This record gives sequence, structure tokens and C-alpha cells, in this order.
Amino acid sequence: MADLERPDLYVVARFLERLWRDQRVYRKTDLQLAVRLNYRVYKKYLDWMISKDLIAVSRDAEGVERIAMTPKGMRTYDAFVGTLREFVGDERF
Amino acid sequence: MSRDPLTQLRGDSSTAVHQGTAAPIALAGLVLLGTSLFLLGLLASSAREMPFESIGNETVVNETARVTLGLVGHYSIPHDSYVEATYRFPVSPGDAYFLDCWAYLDLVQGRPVSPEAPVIRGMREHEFRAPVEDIINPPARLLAGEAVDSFYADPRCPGLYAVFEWPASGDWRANRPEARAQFVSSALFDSPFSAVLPALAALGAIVAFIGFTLWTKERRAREPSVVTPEETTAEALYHFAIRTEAWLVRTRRYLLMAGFLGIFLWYPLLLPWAWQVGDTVGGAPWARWAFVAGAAVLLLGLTGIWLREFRALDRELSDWRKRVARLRRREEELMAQIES
Repeated sequence: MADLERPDLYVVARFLERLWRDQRVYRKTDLQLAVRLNYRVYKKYLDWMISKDLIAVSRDAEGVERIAMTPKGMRTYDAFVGTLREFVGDERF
Repeated sequence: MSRDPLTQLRGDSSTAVHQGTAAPIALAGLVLLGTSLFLLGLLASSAREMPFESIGNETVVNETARVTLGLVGHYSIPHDSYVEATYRFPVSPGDAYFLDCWAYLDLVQGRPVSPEAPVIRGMREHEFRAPVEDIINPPARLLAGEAVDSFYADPRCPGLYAVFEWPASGDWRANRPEARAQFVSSALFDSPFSAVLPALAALGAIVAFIGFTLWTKERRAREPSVVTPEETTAEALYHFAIRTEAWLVRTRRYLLMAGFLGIFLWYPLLLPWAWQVGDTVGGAPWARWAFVAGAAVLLLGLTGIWLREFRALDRELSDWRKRVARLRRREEELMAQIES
């Protein structure tokens, strides 16, 4: 990952949230649609998250690339949710 | 499929949008309240003055010349009304006193009268003010009115008279006094609006309260949900944090403006006004202090409520900023954790 100097934590969380919520592996294109980013930005985040071991890319039997959360990605997402829960506290929406 | 823990924090975004008429209702209530209070204040601060008129020519009885000024007709007498008189005998001193209608009839028919108070004897010129109850003697001739604090003149013989006497010797006509007397009462207590205006003010307050309550509900219903469908829950919470801080800052600014326009601005206006009303309505010296004290208590009470609300809001804003700062720290820590 070269030129994503300071990724937005909330965009990272958008990837992780989608993968966590649906509990399945995504094709690259499907995930891009799910996180609603243009391809250039999406690619940068995807590469950065792979480099940080938050997500992993694998190929299925048909040779199509599939994206899934790694254990570190899961822990990061848990920590992020914990942070938000701490922030929200007793507030009700 | 299990539910995202963040999703559990989301509220229902399907709030309906209502078009209401609550704001005009609140405004109408405020206008009614303000107009009633303004008119009430205008009436309370304006005195009703009824000048005494000359009754016939000067007469001489038992070597005493006499001139009478009178206020003839039915009149109501608020507790705090008074009569003020100014007179000047050009040549030599004379006497002045007040009579009610019955006593005046006695005087005209040559029967002795004994005004008890105030009788001013032996002065060439004088200016005085006396409460009506001190003038009409005996007080039993005053009939209690419907209002607790007012009386009415006896309808069988209504009227109030100021009598000026001086010795009828030599060129007594040259000593005819220049006299003026008038009955002064608060216009408020004698006005048909005195009962209607407080009722209208109360109605206005109720309508404004109902209007504002409905308006608040409408605004709440119109507020977009914290979470819009396009945002993930995390982003929605982040935006909520930013918006909440801005909202708190804005509300604090509005509260400051409301305090200035609704309370503090009124200190230099309401207190002198209350003093003026007390001076006009109440004859007793303590009356104006009572009015000022009432106004001061009202303003201080409002100031207390405002201070309490402002401090609460300020504390909430301060807590919220601390909370957002803590969130920022956690984000930094999380990023550092990811980077590692």
C-alpha cells in the first residue's frame, strides 16, 4: 500500500462492518458496491487493509477472488464497536 | 444471520414528517398575551382624573363667604383613589374642607356640618392630597362595591364637594380663592377591561403554551433520524457526534439570546415601570415598593430558572466535548493498533 497515508477509520469500519454483518466472503466488485466507493479509492483501501492483515483475498474453485475478514480484522472491528459503545454510553437514539 | 452489534444502536429512521399549524397558534397566543399585558400596563399606569366644577356663585352665610367646587354624580372609589386640591386666597387666609353629598345638603340648608378631616384653616394658599376615605365622613356612607378594594358613592346622593370659606368683611369678593380640585383614581380599577384583560392574558398564555408544546412535538417529528439509510451505523454515530456538539453550541447561543432579550433587558424597563405603577395605583408609600418587589421577584425568579438551565446546558456541552475528545483518542489508539 503506497499512497494511502492516513486512512479514514470510518471508511475502514465500513468495509469491516459490511463483511461482519453479512458473515460471508465477498467478490471484489460486490464489496465495492457494498461500501459505495469509487474504484480508485476502493482499491487503495483494499490494498491497505490487506497489507494490515484486516482482510484477506483468496481464490475459489472457479478462480474468482473472494474477500473475507481475518482474525485481526475481527478483533479490530470488535475494538471499534467497543469504542463506539463507550462513546454512546447510555444514549438512546 | 446474526445482527450487527452496531445495528443494535440504530434507531428507527422512519419518522413521519408532519405539516402543522402549531407555530401560528403559539405566535397568536404570544401576541394575545403581549397585547393584554401591554394594555393592562397602560391602564395601570394611567390615572383617571375628574376635575371638580364650580357649584353656583359665592354665598355669604353668618358673615362667612363660601365657594364650592363639586364632583356631582355617581362615582366609584377604588381604595387607593385620592382627591388633590390647590387653592389660593388673594387677600387674606381662609379655610378649606371636603364634604360628601349628604353633608353638603346639610350645609346648603343651613344646618351645621362638622367635617372631620382634612380641614385646613387659616391658610392663604395650600396644596394637598387626601385619600377619599378620609374625606367622606362617616365612612358608612360609602357602599362596598363588587370589588373588594373599591367603594361606591351612595346612589341616593352621589357627589363630593370642596368648600372654601373666608370672612365676609370689607371687599370680601376680592378674596375669592383661585381653587382647583380633582378626583384621581386608577383607570384600571374603574375600567371594564380590568377584568377582561387579565383573563385575555391568561388565555394568551395558555394558547402560547399549547402552541409551543405542539410546535416542539412537530419539530421533533420533522427532525431527520440520526441514522440515514445511506450511512453505516459507525459513520452515522460519528456524524451524530459532530452534529450534537454543533446543536449544543447553537442551543447555548439561543439560550443566551433568550436570557438577554427575555430577562436581562427587562430589568431596567420593568423595575422603573413597576415603581411608576405603584406610584399611580397605590397611595401608600409602601405600595410602590410592593410593586417593585413583585417585579424584582418575578425577574429574579426568571433569572434563577434561566441560570439553572444555562448551567445544565453548558455542563452538557462540556461533557459532550470531553466525550468526543475521548472518542478521538480511542480512534488514534485503534489506528496505532492496526498499524502495528
